[in-house]
Amino acid sequence: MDKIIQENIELLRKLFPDGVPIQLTKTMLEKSTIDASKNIRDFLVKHSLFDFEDLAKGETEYINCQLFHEGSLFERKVSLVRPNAKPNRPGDPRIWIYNLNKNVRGLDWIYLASRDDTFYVIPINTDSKFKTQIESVFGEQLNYVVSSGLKNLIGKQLITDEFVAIFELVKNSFDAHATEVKIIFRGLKTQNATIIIQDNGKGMSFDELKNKWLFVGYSAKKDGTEDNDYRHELGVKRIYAGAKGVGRFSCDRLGNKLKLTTKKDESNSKTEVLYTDWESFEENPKARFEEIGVRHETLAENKELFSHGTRLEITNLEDSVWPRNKLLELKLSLEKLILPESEEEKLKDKKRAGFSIYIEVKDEEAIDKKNTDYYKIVNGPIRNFIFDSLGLRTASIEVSISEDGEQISTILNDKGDDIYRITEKNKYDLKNIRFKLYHLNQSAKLVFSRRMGFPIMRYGHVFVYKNGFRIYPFGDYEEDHFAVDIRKSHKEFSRIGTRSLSGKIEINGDFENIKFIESTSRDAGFLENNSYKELKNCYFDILTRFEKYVVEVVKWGNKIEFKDIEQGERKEEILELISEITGSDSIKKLWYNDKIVDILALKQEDSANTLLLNLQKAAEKTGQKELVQDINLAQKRLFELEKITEQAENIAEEAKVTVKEARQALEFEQQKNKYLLSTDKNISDDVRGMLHNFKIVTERINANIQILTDKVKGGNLNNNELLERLGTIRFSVEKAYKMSRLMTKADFRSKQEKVTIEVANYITEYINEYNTLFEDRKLKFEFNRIGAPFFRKVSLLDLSVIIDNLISNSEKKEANKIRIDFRTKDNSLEMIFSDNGIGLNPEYVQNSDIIFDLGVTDTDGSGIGLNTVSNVLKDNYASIVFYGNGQILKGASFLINFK
Amino acid sequence: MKHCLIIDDQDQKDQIALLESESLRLGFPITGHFFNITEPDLLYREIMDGKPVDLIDVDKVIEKLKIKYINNQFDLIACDYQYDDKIIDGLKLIQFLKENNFKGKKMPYLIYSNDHEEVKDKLQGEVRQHIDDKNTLMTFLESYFDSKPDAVIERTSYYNSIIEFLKKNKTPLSIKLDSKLREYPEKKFNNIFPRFKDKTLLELANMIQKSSAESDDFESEFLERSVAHFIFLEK
Repeated sequence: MDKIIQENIELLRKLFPDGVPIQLTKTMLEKSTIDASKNIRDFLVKHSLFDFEDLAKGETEYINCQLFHEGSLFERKVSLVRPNAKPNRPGDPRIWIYNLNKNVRGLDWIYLASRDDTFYVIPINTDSKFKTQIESVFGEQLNYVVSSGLKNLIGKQLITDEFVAIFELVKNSFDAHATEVKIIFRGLKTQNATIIIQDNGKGMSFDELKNKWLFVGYSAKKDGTEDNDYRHELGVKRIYAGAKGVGRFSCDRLGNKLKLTTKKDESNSKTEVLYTDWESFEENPKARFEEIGVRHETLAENKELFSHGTRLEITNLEDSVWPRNKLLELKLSLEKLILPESEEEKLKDKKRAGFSIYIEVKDEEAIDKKNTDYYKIVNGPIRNFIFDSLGLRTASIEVSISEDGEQISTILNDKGDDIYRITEKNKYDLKNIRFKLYHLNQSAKLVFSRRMGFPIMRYGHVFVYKNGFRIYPFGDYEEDHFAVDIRKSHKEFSRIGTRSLSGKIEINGDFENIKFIESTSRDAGFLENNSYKELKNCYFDILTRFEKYVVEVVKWGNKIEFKDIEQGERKEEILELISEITGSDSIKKLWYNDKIVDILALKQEDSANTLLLNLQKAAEKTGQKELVQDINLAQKRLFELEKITEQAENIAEEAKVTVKEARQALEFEQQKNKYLLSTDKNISDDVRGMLHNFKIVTERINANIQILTDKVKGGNLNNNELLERLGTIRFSVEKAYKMSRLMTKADFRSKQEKVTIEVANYITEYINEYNTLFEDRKLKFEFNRIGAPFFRKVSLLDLSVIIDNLISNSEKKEANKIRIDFRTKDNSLEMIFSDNGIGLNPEYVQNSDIIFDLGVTDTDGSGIGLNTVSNVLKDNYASIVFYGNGQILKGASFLINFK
Repeated sequence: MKHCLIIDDQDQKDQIALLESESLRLGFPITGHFFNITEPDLLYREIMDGKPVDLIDVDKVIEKLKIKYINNQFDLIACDYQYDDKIIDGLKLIQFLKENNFKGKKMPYLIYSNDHEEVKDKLQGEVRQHIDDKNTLMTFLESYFDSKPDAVIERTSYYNSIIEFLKKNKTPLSIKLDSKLREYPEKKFNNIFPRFKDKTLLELANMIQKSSAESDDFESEFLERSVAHFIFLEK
């Protein structure tokens, strides 16, 4: 026996000790029969698969098996036969696995095995991947085991900021329906420094302590069971601030020991206490996480807590230094933790019921008494800071995207006066989001500093809130996650940076905005996914609109002559003006301030253009030609300066791109030699698959180009062949393009170009799911289906491109609705593709076959499309004919038959 | 004129057009024949990992090849390696074709692939696995050469490699003879070969393909008589 075969049999014996190896002979394969020897019969009986004793002479029974081949399992029928034999002879039993000879050759070995009532037949080969494939399908199930070292990974090494740690615990209190949470610092100057976070929330029962607090990574908030009690009926549904199940490990960031005391808000509840020593998780990294014990006791009563709630007492503080200025920083940060809302806003939005945070540091009370400034006092409630309350006279822009995502509203305000309010169709894939931005000129910054007692830089700029809680570190000093300052650096003179901005971005609603996922470490913003990118795009567009007002109008001056616009008249000019300053051409609703003209005129009073214009008028009055000439020259130069500035900014932007590109090119060149010298054997199968298919497609293009070139050189190219080959080239190009568009879809990354699919399902799914690929097409699709499923092995790419071509033809015929009927008939599938367009030209209706000929076109196309479609369908063993005009919808119908 | 059969699951008419035009240009004309291995009647359906898949039925492939090309002989058979099939690839197909004596034991085979390095690695891997086992090595090598292709080539512009291969490797005389006889399948040798009288040329061609002792005799006699005939003509 071949050594490798032997090894493989040994492997199978380990996995299936009761299995039976069988060596097949050529005769067995030729006659499609294997003698069911005693070994085989005993095996079948032992695993309750079949008993030949129950089979009479001349009878055949069938069972199923799973045949293993290259890591996959094929369902096969197995026949068990007791042939007719001479009288007094039982008839030698036989077994046969259908189509086995497609998988094996003579003298090959197979292994019969069983597990969990399934009968397996495993042909054994010497392929180097055999062992791995067997292990992956039949191998022992292994489980991940977690080291106690996990505590550090999700504790102090993940939550690296103490403020963030406290915020997480405050958020937990909020989510526990607390109306009040106290952050208490005790004995900070002693060895027994303690941080206590105490709330009056719903608390936990013993079961909840065990199944929620101690269940790492589990979040009842995430699976919806957090408030499976009377709170559901109250109608005030909470949005949760945290939902990952790791916030509780924030305690590890703050101190090594935790005493958790909790009492549930129900009658007869007991006080549960849990003692956690985080250091015990660090003693032995080989110890399993779940084996590190935590002490628990149940108290009959407690005196320290409220009647219900949770208290976290953290001692052995990691960093026991909490000096006064750090406490004041904490206070400032806590102020920004919760979305600042006016009382009016709070009443409107019942989702966020009142929630108060208090800081208590008795050691600092003495110094507190010497201060009156809120920001210089440690102890006391954290106030709800509203920027508006500062009364800064500055410009602001407020943008709201509706809950259903249909509309977007913008209000531009300047010094308390609304300038315009517009409502547009929302073009962003965003819902239930609000932006409020303030432009801080020099004077506004000075006023802020005077009133707050510290510069606005220290306060921060534009904060982001999700469901009322701040997402760090957006808005912090020197933080620029959105790259606003980088954006400004590309057009230094016409863009606003973080130093001139203040405000907030509110993201509301768990379900609408579930895709905004906070990083687990809680201090790295959102995960960079499509939603985040869309938010950024929207933010930048808002900034651009804001800049049109606060920068362009103010600095350069608007180009419209205001004296020509009279109030109440010339509405068109005003609308044009607003269109210019909003940069919008799709305004659905508009309100503008009657005094807009005056406001804008005033705004640009000091602008360069206005100044010169005024000078020009004054000079003209004097009649002094030289003066007028000088001013004209100055105007020209100003105009040039504007242009030059714009060009300079553009060049700067381009230069950066160019520099970037050059750097990339240089790096690439440096890497190239290395790349050329080695083959990357580590590219994934998916990439290999895509490359394989790309090569085939480009080969086809090259071959056709080569043929055309040869024929042109030889002077023997006719029009028909030219058209046909161009059609092939075009089709191949469309295929390549399609591949690049569908690259992210798993079906298309496979090496297999041809796949067995249920054709109607695939086409329906393709059109529905990949509708986004049709971009701006406004087509409606309808599907109808009669008959059984129809499976065929086809080229997915060919089919996709064919569908695209048919849809494109319908669009050319002004259709806005397409209906596809599927009908299975006589082992073939009929697909009728109909549209409500203007139909096939009557000239072709009687002899419609010619529309599939080269060069014949019923649209303004090249006439290649339908010919290529017909040829490609033929390659996939299908055909297409014209079915008629007005047969299904009022336009043309085509019948495609898959045989 | 040489003949090359190309077996692929995708239309190769463009490559065949290039093969024919280029070989003609070089004064070494080759005719290409294309066989699509995934015609619907050559597939059977299985449930694989719970989903239906259509797989190549290699028995039907061989049967159809024999019927379709009963009157043809080839100087070379070129197969794609990748057939979008879980069970059959080019190497396995060649093995089946050789085992079934399709067009004779001496028929040369080529495999072309975009991953031709991978194919070579696979083949060499098989050899490496057996190289240390002297008990099985010889047996393995005998069966290996009997079932493997003569060359593995890059897919891009493979028609050039086919031309090169055919130029470099002489078509065995038996194949040439087989091919010639098939041009007149119904004809018979009336008075030259008494042993093989009443056999059609097609039957004789099929006999040559089987590479039996009888076919060997036929070829020897054929050569003897041909030489004698040429000498006679000269005289």
